Amino acid sequence: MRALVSTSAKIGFGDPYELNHRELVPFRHDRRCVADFEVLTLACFKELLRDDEDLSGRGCGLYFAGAKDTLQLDIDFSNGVADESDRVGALTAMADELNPLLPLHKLYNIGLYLAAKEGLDCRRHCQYTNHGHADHSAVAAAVRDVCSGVVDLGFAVFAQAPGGFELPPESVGAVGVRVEAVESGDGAGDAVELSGLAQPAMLLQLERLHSNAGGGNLTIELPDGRS
Amino acid sequence: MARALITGVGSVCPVGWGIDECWQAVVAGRSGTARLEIVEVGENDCKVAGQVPARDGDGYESSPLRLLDFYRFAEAEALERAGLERESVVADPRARAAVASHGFAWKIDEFTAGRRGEPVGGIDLSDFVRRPQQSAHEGIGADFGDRYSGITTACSAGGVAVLEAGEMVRSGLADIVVTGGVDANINELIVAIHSRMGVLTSHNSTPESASRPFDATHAGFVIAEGAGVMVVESERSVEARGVEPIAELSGWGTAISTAHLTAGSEGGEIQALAMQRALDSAGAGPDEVDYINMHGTSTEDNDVSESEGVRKVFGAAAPPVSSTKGVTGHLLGGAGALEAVFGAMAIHSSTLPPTANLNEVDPRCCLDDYIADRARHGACRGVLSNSFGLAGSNASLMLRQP
Repeated sequence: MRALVSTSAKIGFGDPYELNHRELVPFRHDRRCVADFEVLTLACFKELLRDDEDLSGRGCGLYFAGAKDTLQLDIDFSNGVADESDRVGALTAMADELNPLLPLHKLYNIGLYLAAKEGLDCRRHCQYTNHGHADHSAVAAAVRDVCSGVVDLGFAVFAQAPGGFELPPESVGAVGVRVEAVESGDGAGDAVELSGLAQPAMLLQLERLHSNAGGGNLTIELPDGRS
Repeated sequence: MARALITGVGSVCPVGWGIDECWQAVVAGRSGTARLEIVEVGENDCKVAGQVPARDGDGYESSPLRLLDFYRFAEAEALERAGLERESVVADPRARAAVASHGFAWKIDEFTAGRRGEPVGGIDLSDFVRRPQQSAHEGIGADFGDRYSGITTACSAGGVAVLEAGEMVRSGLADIVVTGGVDANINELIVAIHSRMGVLTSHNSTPESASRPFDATHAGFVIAEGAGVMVVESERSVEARGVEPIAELSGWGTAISTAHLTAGSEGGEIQALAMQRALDSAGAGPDEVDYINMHGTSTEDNDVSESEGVRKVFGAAAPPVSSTKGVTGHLLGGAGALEAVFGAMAIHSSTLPPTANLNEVDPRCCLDDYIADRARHGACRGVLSNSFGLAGSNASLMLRQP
């Protein structure tokens, strides 16, 4: 059993950011706070879709992950958006001014929503947010569901966006992983072993994937001794 | 394919601490929503919330880290009922955790003090404020290391977390999964934003009956706080330990609606797809479902479209349905897990809970049997539990008698 993996990566805010930024116009992304995460996620995800590829009839899974503590600016009175002397009034004004969705720092699903709008038959989705192993969870879930046959294709994308707190620009970015089975095995049993890789091993693989981003496919051999 | 069995449950919600207290209130249809007291909100904002009472005594005990209090209590209860010690579970490489939470939501005072590095209630919040979600999930699941999954799919998250637990056990990845959802999101900003979105109840003058799913006067949901946790185990583990499961987590399905960022799909089509996938996953027919615990938020949009979705799957023979949010309000990321706990309790106690505050069904809600007034008693073979979230994330769980 092998999991065929291809990758994409977006670091920083280059053209893809601007391009995809426009897709969020309906959500009035007029402040760089919430949508960085989703924009990066979407840009990365789109690179995983191959040109002229017809995914109709293929069940897909979307597994997103990332550090998304992005909206604290919205109640940071020091940024001038809100007036600390009238806190409730400032919040009300802010909520009126913005699309009410934007300051909602619980809006985790925009990436899923936009990706699903690509016309995928999305049979499984999840979003793992803000714990140290979210990237591992996303890839492991994609592999698990591909290998067990729940989905034909798994797309795992993990992104990091700062939202006003200290984060070096080079740390802002996203990595995408596309997973599809190339050989059928015992299904669930195979998934156990690959998903069961300890996080360092998984991240090592991802590091390789990341360095190969845009460089085609990489086949990961499942470890021996699976139960 | 391994069976996933539920062996312990725990809960905290606006009607109390502990599953016995919560379930009794749910069965009695006794609402826990009340006038919002935790924070001051704008003149035109919603002033009703489902606030968890102080654990010992009356009133409300504020704590900036109450989210962790809720989770730890519910987790401890679920593990105890399952006959498990937390330490041994954490140390077991075949054990995992999958929990939904959207992180700490600070009151403005707490947030600004935290930003300035000023302690709140003796707690230095600076790191928590800087990383509210990461901190919350670290607090919940750090002991499990990379065997922990923190899930954030908005209001479906609790259901998705339970689904993940089922997938981990079914795929053979784990023998024991501690799963659930917790949120404590009652603060000025969240209330203001949801008020602007027009999704919160406008029944400010009658806070105790403000959450009224499917009622002709439903006018938005009531933000609430709390946690629901369950222990999901493989059959192998259950047999080895010799414990009696409460229910089986037998199937699950998800589907994303892309029709609208915040509204349900027209005609409940995508919600129906999630439910059908849950049935398919369980290998169950519609006639094996004796009760549906609806997402039932008390918004017109959800209540109508979810009912249409049920109709699409079950036709005229739809089973009785109710929404326990009439009692608890809407726990957001915690809702799906808490309601899965209630679904398990419905099977375990052969009791179908009513929808509190449902007096006259909205004629646009198209099902024939909304349970109102009082609980029904009788064998319950199968339960569907629905959780739907912003941006079209829909999840449905199928639970059965073990």
